[in-house]
Amino acid sequence: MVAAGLLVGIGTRLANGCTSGHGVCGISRLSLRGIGATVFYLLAGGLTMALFRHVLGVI
Amino acid sequence: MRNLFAFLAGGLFGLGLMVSGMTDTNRVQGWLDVFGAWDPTLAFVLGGAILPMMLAWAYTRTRARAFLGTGFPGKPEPHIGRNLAVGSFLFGAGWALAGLCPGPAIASLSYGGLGGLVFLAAMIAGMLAAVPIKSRMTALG
Repeated sequence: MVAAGLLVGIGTRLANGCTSGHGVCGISRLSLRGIGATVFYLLAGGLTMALFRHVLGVI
Repeated sequence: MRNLFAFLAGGLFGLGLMVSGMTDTNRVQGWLDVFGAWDPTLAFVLGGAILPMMLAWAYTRTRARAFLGTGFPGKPEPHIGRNLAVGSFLFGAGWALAGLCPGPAIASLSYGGLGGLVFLAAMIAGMLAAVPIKSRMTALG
């Protein structure tokens, strides 16, 4: 929980946005930054789930 | 008036997060589990939110100011830099680990118990820590 919270906090500030900010507000105005951010966080989310659930089996 | 509308908008957003399943950490993790038992239903939340938001953005182009008098945010430069890429990547990893992103993390104060509180505290610490990290990354160019 601590590690996850830190990652989400740092990531949101570095990228200037989160799921709603880039995903909803960004994509809906066809902003390249919003679409790019969404691609990156979904990719990271998918890889993290694969690693921690299917390789390490911890979540 | 502004505060009243901020309160109503925040309440509506929180209600939407709860009803749509975005606050259900198991569902969020299922949605990100594309290499396992993938649960695609949350894609409809993103899609369902993008549609009315597109209409709202289109409507803002017909007005100079919002009803409450403030201007609308400008469209950013279409540039994907290192901050955006690295930040979004870290964000996605944390989102998958806990199944929480910033909106639901705040909403979890009402139902999430200690775990949600710990996540929220760590998230705020991360946001504060990101300020010096960001200026250093920007300085690197």
